[in-house]
Amino acid sequence: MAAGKARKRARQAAPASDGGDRIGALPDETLHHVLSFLPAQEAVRTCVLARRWLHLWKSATGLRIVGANGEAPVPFEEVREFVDSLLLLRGSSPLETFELRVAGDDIDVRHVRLWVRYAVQCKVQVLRLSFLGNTHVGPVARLGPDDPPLTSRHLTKLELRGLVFNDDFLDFSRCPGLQDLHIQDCSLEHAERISSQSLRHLYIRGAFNQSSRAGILAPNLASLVLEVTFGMTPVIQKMPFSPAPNYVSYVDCDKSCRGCIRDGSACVILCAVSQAEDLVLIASPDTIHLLEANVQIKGRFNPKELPPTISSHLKEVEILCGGVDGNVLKVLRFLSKLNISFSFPPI
Amino acid sequence: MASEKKVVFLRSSDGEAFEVSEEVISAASVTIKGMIDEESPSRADTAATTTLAIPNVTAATLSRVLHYVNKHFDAAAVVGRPDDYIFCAPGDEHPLARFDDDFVDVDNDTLIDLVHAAEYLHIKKLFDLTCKAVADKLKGRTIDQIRETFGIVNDYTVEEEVEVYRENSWAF
Repeated sequence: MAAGKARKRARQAAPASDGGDRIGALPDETLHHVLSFLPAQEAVRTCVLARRWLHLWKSATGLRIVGANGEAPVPFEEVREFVDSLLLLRGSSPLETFELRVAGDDIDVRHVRLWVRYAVQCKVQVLRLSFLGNTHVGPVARLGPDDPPLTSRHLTKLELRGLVFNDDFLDFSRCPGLQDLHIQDCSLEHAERISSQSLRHLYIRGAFNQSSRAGILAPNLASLVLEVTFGMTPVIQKMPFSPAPNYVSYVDCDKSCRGCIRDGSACVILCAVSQAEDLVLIASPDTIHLLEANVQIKGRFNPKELPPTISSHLKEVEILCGGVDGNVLKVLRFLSKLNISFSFPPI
Repeated sequence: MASEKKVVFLRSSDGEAFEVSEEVISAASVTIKGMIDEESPSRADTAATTTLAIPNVTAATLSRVLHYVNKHFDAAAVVGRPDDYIFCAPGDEHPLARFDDDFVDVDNDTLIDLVHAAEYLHIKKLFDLTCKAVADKLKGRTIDQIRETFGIVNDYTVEEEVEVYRENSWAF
């Protein structure tokens, strides 16, 4: 111990390139975790560094099947054989994360499902699947009608991009630990519902069915970001009473609320959140600017004077905005009709 | 009753003591939370402050770790904001992303000290951050460059090295 410390001191005084293999001295488990952040090809290639590294890649806690710079998608046909070899040779070491980012106009989803099944068998907790078309714009990976939903006790986070869902893939009753679901640029036109008892955070940007409304059944949801690029806004089961803040961000496709107003009466989104006690509602695509707010307006009002369309749980309204423009004035005018008075805190 | 914030002192391997909020460090470090829980029955509930020995971490590293911990786990600083991507629009940056980038922009030895500390103190977020930073130093480099950067000595014989390349030709 003392010798080790003295050695380290000496090294700290010397320039960085003084030799001494400190990375190789890290415990195996730590190096398995380091390798999980590398693109899988590079992780395997570390086997030629030195004897210490010969087998480390086999136990990497994550697999990232991505393109050359670690970010871009990799052509599916180019990587297919590599992934098959990798999964066969690494055995059954447990996985925390499995990330697949592939490109192609004709991706063999059945083959990918085998890889996913492998990852699930290795107790994967975080699964990221992204499919991009070469020439085709929009979702390219089509799930077959018989493709079953995922079944995993260990899965906590799922990110999906570029998929066309079948009617029951988004039923997560067999993933009792799922907390985060991130769906981007997918087609939900065949999806009848998205359901999960455990889900806490849901992000969806995608196209829904034009003629029938899908349902979101997630009784423990704490935050929701919903961007409907096409079709009807899904019906959302009422969000629960929750002492923690609930976050809801909603972006409508054509700003006309056509997809969101049900039977010409109630707004689907507002119905869903009417039970929330502490709510941040963002109805703008410019959510980035909302985080840079420099004006805060707080109001108080008498709940007894509220119109019935406003939740009786409402106690305080806080508007965050980059600057007071026409839209903000509209909101203020609306709120003033509800006898809500305002104060401007010092900036 | 618990109106006053409790603090604990952490003593580094080279004897320097650092003050940190008990609540913050308990939220951050599984190891220290365990130490505090173990101490608490014997601890008088009055003025006595606890000093915990952290024998595996030097003062230089411990002060960096506490800087990170105070930034990431102080509830007063992060209140009302979900921890992850949820409140951020796609492509938006996590509020602490830049802090994290700067935090791991250090020389190899400092970084590896941080990996050891994060592992010993069991701070999962910091362990992930520092392991990823080590991976970033490996990424996009040739085998020779990696050996040079980290002082890794190639101890394969020529025959062995040829054999390792042949065995794993599917990955090259």
